[in-house]
Amino acid sequence: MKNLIQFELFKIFSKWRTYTGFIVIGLLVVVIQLVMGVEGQNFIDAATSSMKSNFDFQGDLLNAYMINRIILQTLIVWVPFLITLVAGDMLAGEASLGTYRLLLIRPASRLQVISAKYISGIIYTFVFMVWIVLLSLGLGILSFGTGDMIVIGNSILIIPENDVFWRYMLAYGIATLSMMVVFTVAFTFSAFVQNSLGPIFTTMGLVIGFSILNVFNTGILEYINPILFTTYTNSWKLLFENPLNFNNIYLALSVLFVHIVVLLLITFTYFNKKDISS
Amino acid sequence: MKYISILLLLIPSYLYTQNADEIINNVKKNIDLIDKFEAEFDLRIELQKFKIPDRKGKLFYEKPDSTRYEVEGFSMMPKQGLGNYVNRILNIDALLMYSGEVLINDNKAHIIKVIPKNNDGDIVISTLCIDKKSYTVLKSEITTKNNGTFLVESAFIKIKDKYYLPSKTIISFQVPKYKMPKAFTGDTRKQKEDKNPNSLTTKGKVIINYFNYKVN
Repeated sequence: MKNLIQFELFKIFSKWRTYTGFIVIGLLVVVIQLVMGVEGQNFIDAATSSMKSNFDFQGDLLNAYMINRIILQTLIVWVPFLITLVAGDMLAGEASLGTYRLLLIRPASRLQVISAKYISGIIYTFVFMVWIVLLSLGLGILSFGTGDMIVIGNSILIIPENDVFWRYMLAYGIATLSMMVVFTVAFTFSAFVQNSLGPIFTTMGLVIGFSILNVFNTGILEYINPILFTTYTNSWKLLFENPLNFNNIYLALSVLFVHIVVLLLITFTYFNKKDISS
Repeated sequence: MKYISILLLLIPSYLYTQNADEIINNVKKNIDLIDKFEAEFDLRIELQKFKIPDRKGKLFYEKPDSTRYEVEGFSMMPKQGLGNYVNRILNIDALLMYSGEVLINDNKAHIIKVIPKNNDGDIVISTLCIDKKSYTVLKSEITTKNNGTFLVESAFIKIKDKYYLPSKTIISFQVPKYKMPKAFTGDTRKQKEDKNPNSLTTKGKVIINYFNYKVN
């Protein structure tokens, strides 16, 4: 099994498209950090302007934690598309290249082969998210330092510095889980078709479509939205509330986890019985 | 008879003015006793749509009007009512007006209005409620040109049997309601302007507890 995973990882990381996401995210993070370095203080000033007449502000809120939240908020919407590029190709790529038979005549069972592919894909997703963490948080801390974190939204929340890092780690955990769901969706579609473009565009379409439904949360959509995986793409933000709403966090984790289990059951069942003709 | 009536009307006003000067002088004497002090404090800010953790810090005061504070991390310190703010009010060249008495937490207090003689400063009028026994300012309402009206309520402790310093101060004020900047919402549509002034502001409160005083 270990060899199979290594083999699959080699295949993933030997393709040029795998690095597209890394390069795009790398450039975007640096650009956002540069912009925030120049304009970040204006953002904070705009948000706190109403308080300036009554209070003297002391301390710097333009730091890596504040900038990192903006980066994550901006990028998390686009990460699914980059992950889909790899995930959609995982099984359908074998079909289109005609290497399914070659792959499955080896002593490894179908279950082992598909498990190795899935685990490799999940490792890729994890590495991709670690890349984002390293760049946005790591590079951010080196460039801007740390401090109390300002969360600007419908209200303003200041989180003490010593209370921020663990929140980020858990937030990235939830964000990674939601990206794993996207990967699993594309992986499932990939099992059903012969061409990798199909699962890539279907997953992208699904992400866009569900995200639009998430905006209109009225009527029947109030009942549908809670079961759509895109509803939880931004659940990492729950970690930056005070007090923390653990019920919502557990709900997000559960729904995402259930998506993965159900999609994997469908994929494994179908793939085990799939008639391999190429 | 006419002149006598006018004289009778003016005498209480004159006496009251004298009285106000005397009261303020007593307050100043109290303050003048303190050359410098430092104190630790904890600070709580209660503001709608602003969640800020409670802070601990150190406050340093030095005569005549140097106030400095040290707080770990980010902090918002109120512009009015902090440290020896009364000194700043009393140092303004102002007209003093005695306006009666009031009971504050079972303490009888004089009410003195301080009206600056010129228009250069930010303070328009201050109403001070001064404890009859200790000559400490228990309550003050400060109306400013640019920053609205502040209500400052203080409780005092006596240090080394002669220095009166605040043990607790509550500063109440009105601030413009927080609106998320459009840059964050992405909503650049022109919104209908709310003309009701009450709906544009919200009440805020800062509570400061002082302890571990070191005086002079």
